Amino acid sequence: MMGDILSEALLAAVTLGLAARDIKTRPAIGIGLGLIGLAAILGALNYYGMTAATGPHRFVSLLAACAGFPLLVCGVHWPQDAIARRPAAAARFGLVIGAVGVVLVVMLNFAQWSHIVPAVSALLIAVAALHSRKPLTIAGSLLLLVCFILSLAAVTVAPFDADQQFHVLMALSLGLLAWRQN
Amino acid sequence: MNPILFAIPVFMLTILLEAWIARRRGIATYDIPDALTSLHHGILSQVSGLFLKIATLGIYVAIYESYRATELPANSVWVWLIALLAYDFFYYWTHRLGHEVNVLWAAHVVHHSSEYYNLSTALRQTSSGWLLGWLFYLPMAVVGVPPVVFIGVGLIDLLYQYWVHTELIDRMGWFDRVFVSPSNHRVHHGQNDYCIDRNYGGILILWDRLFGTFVDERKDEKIIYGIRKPLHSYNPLWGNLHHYADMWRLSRAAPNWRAKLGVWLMPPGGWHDEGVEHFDTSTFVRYTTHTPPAMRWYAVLQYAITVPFIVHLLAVAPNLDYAALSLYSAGIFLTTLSVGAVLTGGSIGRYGELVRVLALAAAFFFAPDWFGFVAPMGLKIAVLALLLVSAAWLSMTHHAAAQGAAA
Repeated sequence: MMGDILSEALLAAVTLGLAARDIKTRPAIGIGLGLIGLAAILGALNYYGMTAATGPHRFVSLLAACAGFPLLVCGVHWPQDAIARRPAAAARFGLVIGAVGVVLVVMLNFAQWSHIVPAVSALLIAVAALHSRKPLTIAGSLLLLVCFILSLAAVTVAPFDADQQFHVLMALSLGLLAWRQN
Repeated sequence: MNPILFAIPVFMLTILLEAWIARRRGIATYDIPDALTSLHHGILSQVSGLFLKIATLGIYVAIYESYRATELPANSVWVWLIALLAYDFFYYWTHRLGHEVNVLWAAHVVHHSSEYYNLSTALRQTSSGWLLGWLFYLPMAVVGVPPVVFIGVGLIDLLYQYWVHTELIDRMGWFDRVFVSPSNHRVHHGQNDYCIDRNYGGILILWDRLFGTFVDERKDEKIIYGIRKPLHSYNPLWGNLHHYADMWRLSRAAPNWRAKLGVWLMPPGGWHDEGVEHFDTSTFVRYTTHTPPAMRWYAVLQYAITVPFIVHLLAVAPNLDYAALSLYSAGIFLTTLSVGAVLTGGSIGRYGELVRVLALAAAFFFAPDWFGFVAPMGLKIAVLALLLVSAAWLSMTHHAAAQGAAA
């Protein structure tokens, strides 16, 4: 239980810290990370025993998967586009893509959508990272891919369980990806 | 039972009362074709709601069932009050983004397309708000506001906004600064430079004061109502689709998929960090097709005949199968289009209307029951007589118009 709380808290600390830093200059990345961070906080509260956080955690995780990751892709892949540069555009894109996710997953029971979107996003981020030729960005994007591959293959590495491993790897990969390099 | 059913008689009576008072005071706040077009939009909104509100409410219920934090008691006054406050807050943002995001404006523009401001304008509602409007209220489902409370406070918020659509009530002092009122909502419907993107509140105008979008009505500047790219049509279908069509054209012309997507997400008129384009109020002329007075009153009569049908449709909709519901709705939909075409003028509109009136007369008279309602013979004869007189009058005016054109 403590491991679950700590892994969620680590993910929340990394993503919300970076979101606070990026929200004005790179709003798509800021909002994307913020959604992941909010889901992680609710997850930590849930593991802490606050049962009222269970539903909201699952809901915000759905939004983070369906809208947060596409926002990260927009911020990393097309940094000069309106969605990457304008907070209003990023928020609107997040709303629309989030709505699509909610309809597909909740109403049409297409639960795989919330796995496909982050996985495809991780691939696109990796492509953008390779083009950037920045070592930490490349390392972060590859770690993100590894995180999803391990999760899909249900492979865990001691001392973590599947959820803890997912959260820790995601925290590390997003931290590396969002690291500012000249 | 659909609660709007009970509101319809109140709407009709208050619209007549407002029109009568305005006429006595000599205020040109009503134009029959414009008011009927507003009412036709309202009818379409209700009819489309029969098919689509289930889906949007279904999303709320599904989120509530699967993701709620807790289950708030539906029998607590506090839950209702806090839910109303929360609903009004989310309404503010729904409404604000309805003006600031192209794809949402395409739905909401319907409500602003009238160049008059009266109680009928309040009923000029969109038929496509279901596309994304539901999204903004999902936090209420996640918190645990029961669907019955959500529906109730939504209805209260909607009905509150009816009475503020009038030019007959002047400023109301402190009330204008706390609640949405006729004065501050007139500003919201204005095209004047100072009115653009202001006063979005539903019940409380305090949200606008909090988020910096409030502006007071100016006594020294007459408000010009409507939209900067005017609708210029009495066709309620086009009223619902015209901005989507504009976006579709812009989107097709955009060079790549990101630009195409951007068209739907950008503010109406494009991203602009500078102020709004100046609007010269002195050159504004309200849209009119100079519909002959007799034809205007003909359209009013047809609307009066249609109202009992729409009330009946809303009442029996839950008991109808999908085919019957679709058929009845299609009939009402075609009525709004046909009467709109008559108001616009032209022989095709009159021909179409003649066919519609005769078809309705025959169907109502000869059908053994009208979607479950067995009409007494007296009513059948009365409706038949009204419609046949309508058809005869239409035929005569068409003949006269054709002779006039030939001469």
